[in-house]
Amino acid sequence: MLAIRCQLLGETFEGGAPEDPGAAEWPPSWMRLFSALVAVADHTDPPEVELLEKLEQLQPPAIVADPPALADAPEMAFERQAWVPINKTAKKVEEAKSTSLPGRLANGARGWARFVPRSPDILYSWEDDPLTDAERALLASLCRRVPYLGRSTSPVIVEVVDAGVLEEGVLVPASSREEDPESTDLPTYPVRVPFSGALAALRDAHERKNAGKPGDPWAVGAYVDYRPRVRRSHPPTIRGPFRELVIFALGGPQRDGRHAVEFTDLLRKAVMANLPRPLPAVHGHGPSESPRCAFLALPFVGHPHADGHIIGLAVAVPELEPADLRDLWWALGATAERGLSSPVLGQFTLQRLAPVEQRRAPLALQAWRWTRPSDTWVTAYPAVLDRFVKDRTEIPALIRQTILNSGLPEPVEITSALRPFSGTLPGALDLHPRETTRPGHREGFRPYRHLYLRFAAPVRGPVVIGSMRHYGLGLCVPVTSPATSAAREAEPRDA
Amino acid sequence: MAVHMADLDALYERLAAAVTLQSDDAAIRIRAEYEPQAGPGAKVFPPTYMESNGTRYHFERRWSPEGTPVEVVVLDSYQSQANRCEAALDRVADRLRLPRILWRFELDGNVLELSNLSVPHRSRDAYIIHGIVGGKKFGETEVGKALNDATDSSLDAYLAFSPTDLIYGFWDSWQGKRTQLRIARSYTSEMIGWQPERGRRAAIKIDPLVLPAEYEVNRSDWQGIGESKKSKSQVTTLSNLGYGTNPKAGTPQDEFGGVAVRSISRLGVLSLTGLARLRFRDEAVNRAGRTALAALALAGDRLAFGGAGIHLRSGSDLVLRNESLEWVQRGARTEPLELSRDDAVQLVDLARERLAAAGVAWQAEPVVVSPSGPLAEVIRNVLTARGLDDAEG
Repeated sequence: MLAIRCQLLGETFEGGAPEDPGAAEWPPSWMRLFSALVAVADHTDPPEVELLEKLEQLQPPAIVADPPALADAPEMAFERQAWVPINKTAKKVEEAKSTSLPGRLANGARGWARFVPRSPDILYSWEDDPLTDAERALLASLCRRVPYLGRSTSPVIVEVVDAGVLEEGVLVPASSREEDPESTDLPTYPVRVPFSGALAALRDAHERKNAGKPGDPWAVGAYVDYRPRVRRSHPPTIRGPFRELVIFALGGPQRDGRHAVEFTDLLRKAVMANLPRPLPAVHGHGPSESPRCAFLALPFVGHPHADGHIIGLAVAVPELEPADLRDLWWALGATAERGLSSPVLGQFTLQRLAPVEQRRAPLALQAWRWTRPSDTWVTAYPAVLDRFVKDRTEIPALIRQTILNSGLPEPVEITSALRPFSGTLPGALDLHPRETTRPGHREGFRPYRHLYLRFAAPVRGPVVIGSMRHYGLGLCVPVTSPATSAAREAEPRDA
Repeated sequence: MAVHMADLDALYERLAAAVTLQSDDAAIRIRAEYEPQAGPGAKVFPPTYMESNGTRYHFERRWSPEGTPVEVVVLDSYQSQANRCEAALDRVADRLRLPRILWRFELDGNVLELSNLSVPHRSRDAYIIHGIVGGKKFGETEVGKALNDATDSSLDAYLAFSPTDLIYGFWDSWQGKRTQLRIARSYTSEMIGWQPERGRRAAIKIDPLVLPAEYEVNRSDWQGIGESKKSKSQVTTLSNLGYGTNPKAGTPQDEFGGVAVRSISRLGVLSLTGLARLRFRDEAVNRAGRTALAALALAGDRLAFGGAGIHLRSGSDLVLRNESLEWVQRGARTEPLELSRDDAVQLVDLARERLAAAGVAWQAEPVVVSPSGPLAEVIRNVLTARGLDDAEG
């Protein structure tokens, strides 16, 4: 495995696409990075030249960027335009049109294409390791010398890194062999890559440019179609009890995640009121094993500045009969149209987001945030356990039973704590017992715990655990890499 | 004081290690927040560009901490921020003993003076390249020739005569040369205002005589220039001569009505990796030269932005709320850095001495260049409005 990480030091990337210089090239292509390496190399040093010749022959790498492609966030691409002073003096007074520099020509218009990525890191990775140790060390030395990518207004740090297996936001060459039946109808993007002879072509363009002749080093490159990576899941993903997640953006006064149950109770009642007939999946009165919807309050968690306030509401829908589904969709639409209102919480609008809008919405409103298959999950709200206990020693077994009762497989690892795992999931809610029951229900407070779970295989979300799961408590967030921080958090934990 | 010198010395050594790629320090990053002098939420005036979408401001978006796109407005561009650093260095050039090239033009006892730190294309600006020194073309003088002959593998002439060019970047675009030398900037900085609310401009200039702005008159009669050549462009309107109410009643003023913003931020980066690419005659000059440039770049930033506030332009006077400097290292690590204005100036002193010890001594006496005859004539005509009748339109 070979990977090069490029970290942007500012908030923007500036560099135009050769086919359309007014549009930014995002993600920055492997050809662009290769050109940067060529620009910093010592061309009198045979090992460096040999390394460049080897790099131009490499298979195109997978590219990880956020957003993965400009088409995913076209509203973050801009062209900055300005008048710039032309470097010429006037020969005649009528040519001297500059208003600030006497005797100079009028200013000329210039434009700079710019893109604002969500993450400053771009990763280029090759599955195999095509380089010897010596070549790898030399590549690391070349990377250290790269000051910017694109224009000099995008300063960077470029490093050879060890990257794990990458799952998200990955673009791969469309010809790569990990074919998945689902991937055939995905969009493709042309990305520039080096080719056999790219080094010579760059040198030639550079010579011409230096001599003041037309020569565009940035137009060198062969185009290869890339597409988003869709991996066959190995091992196969385990599906939880829910089939679909319907997400609403919440508009109105900002409310803390402590009000989660008040919101979900309100949403459930509104949906019930809009149903043409009672639906057991919503009201929950029926055989205990019949599928039920979970009403969720989606909090702002997982970012260093996260404060746990509620950004959206959602309904996790289980497998239902087509007629029931139809009535439920109708009721959800009617509920969104009318919004929510409560004397305690206030007035709120609900906006159902289309998939395309989700891509640009806050993370919490994106379905994959809650459904992405992962073997590691951590609670944003504590999970309320399934029964009362006489003493604390019963709790570990009860947690295990509660997870199974929630329709999930048995985890291979469970860490539980009364307080949230804030190091792993900043913004996770630290609830008071009275915030874990439905408004107006006085059934006493059942024990509740924050959980950090690892399963033997990836589980597809949403993962919601515990006796209050239909009201959104016990909602979990997938964790990309098992964060060791969970085990290190200095909170009192259950045995 | 001795302790302080030791601190400066340590800072010098750390910069020197970074610009010779001997350490993990790759850049120095500056983040700052400002607010309008009139208080948070008061209107500020961004720079105006070409009009597009009904505005002359440059609106963009950035990601909020929650991961949503939010609107921002550019309050000061890269180029403008670099110019502010250069102007700040220009003001203390004597104190820093900074080598400069001055372009001087005299007219009726008034002196117009620009330096390589204030002309748009730095030392490669047309004013300087086409200038005359003591009857000799600038390109034939020792300094001019050395600059012309510099290549990207031997930039000593720039280090000696116009060092700031190597920090802020330049392009020697003159045709007919062997190579068109281009040096990329190593210092970038930009200021943006977050979540702007567009304002309207209510201000209006009232003409106390209430003269009709569109009224056509004969230019020379009104300007009192007296004899002017007969030409088609003799006829002009009163508004062109500065009379009449401005803007005309009923003109929408949204395109430059200022903005109120939630917050104002500045993000600056000095790329030490960028300075490490500059090559001079030997390793000793490489080390001392690049470190001197790093010190100059830090001094430029501190002198321009290290104060209690900053005046960007009319209607944009800002107060510094907080500021932090940090080393940015490989492996995505950062480390705080403290550097006052005085420290930055003393660091330049130290760097200048070390550079001299390495064999490159800065000459504090500026090289003075004047425009050649034909250009001087054009400038004289522009400044006295002679011949402008033909230049209208």
